[in-house]
Amino acid sequence: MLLPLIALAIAAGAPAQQPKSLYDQVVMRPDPSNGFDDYIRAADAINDGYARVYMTWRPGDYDRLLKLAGNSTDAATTERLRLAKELDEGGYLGVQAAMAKRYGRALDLLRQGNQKRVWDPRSLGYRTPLPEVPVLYALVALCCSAAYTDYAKGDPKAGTRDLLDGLSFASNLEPNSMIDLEKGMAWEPILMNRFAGSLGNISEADSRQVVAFVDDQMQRPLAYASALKRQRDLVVSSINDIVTPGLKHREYETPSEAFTWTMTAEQRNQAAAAIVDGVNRRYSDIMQMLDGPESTWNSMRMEVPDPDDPVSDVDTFVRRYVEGFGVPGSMSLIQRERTSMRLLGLNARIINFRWHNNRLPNTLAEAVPKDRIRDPISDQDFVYEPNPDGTYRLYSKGNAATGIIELRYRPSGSGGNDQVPPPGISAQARG
Amino acid sequence: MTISFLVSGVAALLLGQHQTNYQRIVVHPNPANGYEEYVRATDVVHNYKLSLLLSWTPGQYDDLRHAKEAVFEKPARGPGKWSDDDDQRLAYAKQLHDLDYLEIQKIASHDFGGALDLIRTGNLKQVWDPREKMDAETIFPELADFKTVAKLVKADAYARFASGDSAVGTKDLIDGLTFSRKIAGGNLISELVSIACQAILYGEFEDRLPQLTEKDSESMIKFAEASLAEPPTYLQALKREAAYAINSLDLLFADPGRNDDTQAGQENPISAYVKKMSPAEKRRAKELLSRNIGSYYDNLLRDMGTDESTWPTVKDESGLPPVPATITTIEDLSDAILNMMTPIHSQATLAVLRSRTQLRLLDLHARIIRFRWHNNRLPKDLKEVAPENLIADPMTKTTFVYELKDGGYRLYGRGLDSTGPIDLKYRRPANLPGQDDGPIPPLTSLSGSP
Repeated sequence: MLLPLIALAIAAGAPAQQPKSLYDQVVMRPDPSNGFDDYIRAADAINDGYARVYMTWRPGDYDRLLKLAGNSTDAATTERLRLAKELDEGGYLGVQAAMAKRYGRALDLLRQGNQKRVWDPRSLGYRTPLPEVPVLYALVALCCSAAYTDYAKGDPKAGTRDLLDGLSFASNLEPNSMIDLEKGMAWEPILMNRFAGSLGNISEADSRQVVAFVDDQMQRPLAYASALKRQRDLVVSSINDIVTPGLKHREYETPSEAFTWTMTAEQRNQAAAAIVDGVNRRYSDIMQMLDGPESTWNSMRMEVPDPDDPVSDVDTFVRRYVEGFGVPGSMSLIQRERTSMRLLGLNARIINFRWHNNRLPNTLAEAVPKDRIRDPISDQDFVYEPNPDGTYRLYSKGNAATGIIELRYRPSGSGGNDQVPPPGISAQARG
Repeated sequence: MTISFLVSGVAALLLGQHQTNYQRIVVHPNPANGYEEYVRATDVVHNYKLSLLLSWTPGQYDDLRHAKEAVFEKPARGPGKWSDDDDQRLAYAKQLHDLDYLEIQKIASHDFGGALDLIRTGNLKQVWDPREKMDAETIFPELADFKTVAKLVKADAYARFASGDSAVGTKDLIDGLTFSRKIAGGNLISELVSIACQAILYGEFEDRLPQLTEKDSESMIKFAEASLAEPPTYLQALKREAAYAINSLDLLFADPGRNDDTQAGQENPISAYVKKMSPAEKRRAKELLSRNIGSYYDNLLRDMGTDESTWPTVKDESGLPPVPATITTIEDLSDAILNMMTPIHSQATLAVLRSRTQLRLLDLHARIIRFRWHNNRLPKDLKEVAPENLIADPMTKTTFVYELKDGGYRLYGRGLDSTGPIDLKYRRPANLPGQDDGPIPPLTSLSGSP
């Protein structure tokens, strides 16, 4: 028995057979004071190839997988089948609990990282690989699973902490780069949706914790401004990479990348200077816009250029980079994210009021300081509508670009999502 | 706790103060009877401070202050005299004035939590009313305080849920319901007080539904299943009501007219007839009445049967003889007294049925909550969460109504014309006639009301 185990251990330890961890790929100079290192370790802890089985689980997965597997008997398929069967037996709650348990170490590392300053230790270049990006989302899903499990088992304090940990994680990464910002903005609605579904479980003490968290978040410098500065620095430092073709043609190239093969040296110099100049000007314009009221943040035209539009001359090539600078989807996403955070804080204050008074506030002013009632995005007050059945609706009127914003994210045109409000509660929150 | 009670009991005797409920009710202590702990709990909650805490509103102090001003400044128009006790109440209300609802619940829970410990201890034992005999002179001082105990349970649960400890909050409410159910069955009044206590706690359960966890739902289902498996105490209460009525006959014949309204200037025809009866006639009349009362209750219990779905069809007047126009014979007397002594059962029956409906709704809510946690969605219908027999509503002989709306749900029993729909928290429809808050007295003219 011992010999085969040793043989296995040796085989597992053999460098040639062990894939490089994300940590080894990303963190060249470990720094214990940098939370980013912990995040990458957390990503490694969840990157065992099975997290997706939990994240995408639907009832009946085992039968579906069984059909797909056919006669396959390899170890990975066998393990997936075993796992799918186990998850099918546990139901939704069982899956969340199993994920939270299996990846508890990852959650611990994420929390550890949250206690520290966070910065990307790499000097990002135009072609820097970002292998951690697809894995980090699993950590957000893990926070949601842990929260669901903790709320279900009657530990709302832990459930609320799980969700706030997820939000901290997302917001700590956002200032690092435009890619991180986009990720954070994509993850935040997932966490907010879970919060919206858990409002009924939030205790008085939790509501205070949420208020403190939101207040802290809203006092922080705007992540977008930081990410924007880094993007500008990246463009400037990588300008040669931008205008120079790679060593060989890639299987898929954007029209801009393909165009670099056709440019002369002189055209490349011309384009580099124009891009740096354009990006600097645009950076100044955006920063100036951000100094103004939030309701005016949509004043600049910021549309993502279609990367597949043809590029046949230097001017178009330059314009593509300059117009694409500083556009994380659109400005409305940033407004939506900030508004969601404010709505989370307002909901927590309403819940706190309700616990203290055994009734909902008649008006927002009863539960919320005066300066928080105004919604900077719409430049009007947040809308609070208490219902006779003890539920309420709270939302921002938003603006033309965002539409109405609620804590529960509803993609425009959709009838809702798969999150269920607490029992006995209508679609609106019940504090 | 026992020592402190003994000390307080002795102190009360030494000071010549009023007896405690425990001293009045428990003549021969029996440590195996949980009712004794319940009565001790009423002595803990029988306190003006708790009364102020449980009735607290933000305007409580101002209301009391204005009442005092009205007495002293405009004595002619004032509501009455102002006592030292009132001053004590006012002083305590002032202490509570700047607090909020949650803080008030926490104080009630902290300062009077000993009563809840007693309830929990009592819940672990068999429970029976220790009174050896009940008749029209029997008083039930503990019953009103039982409702205070239920309100204290509610306050404690609120504080627990607010602090995020839903498991203890749920246990509180289940303990409260266990207590409420165990005090039933002694007689009709205790049955109705039990229902009133349960209603307080069902209402709190409904308010706490959003906070309930998967584990809480399991505890609730376990409690509801066990409670539904027990035979209804109502039938037992009716049987005891018969004995209660028969026991009260001695008083009626020994002291006719003791409860007559002398100010009306008109003698009660029953009293007038009894006063003229010879001892032999009285003996004969008592025997006849005992038989008739026994027979009436036997028939009532037979008509009701054990199937509660038939209960609403049993009318008050069924089994009762017509009320005689005049009383000229012992038979007339028996008919008149039987009509007078018989409580209005149909109202009590409705209250019992409503309470049993609420118990079933509690079970179904718990199953829906459990389902929702397990599946992250609400069930499409009740069949997804409960077997047929639990979905059936015996009160209406239909099924419970489960409606998905606005992302949430509503669960209720259709009820009867005289009740309107029944939710876990019963809301009496505005179009129905009013109802006293307190229990219905069983013996309308003879009993010493609790």
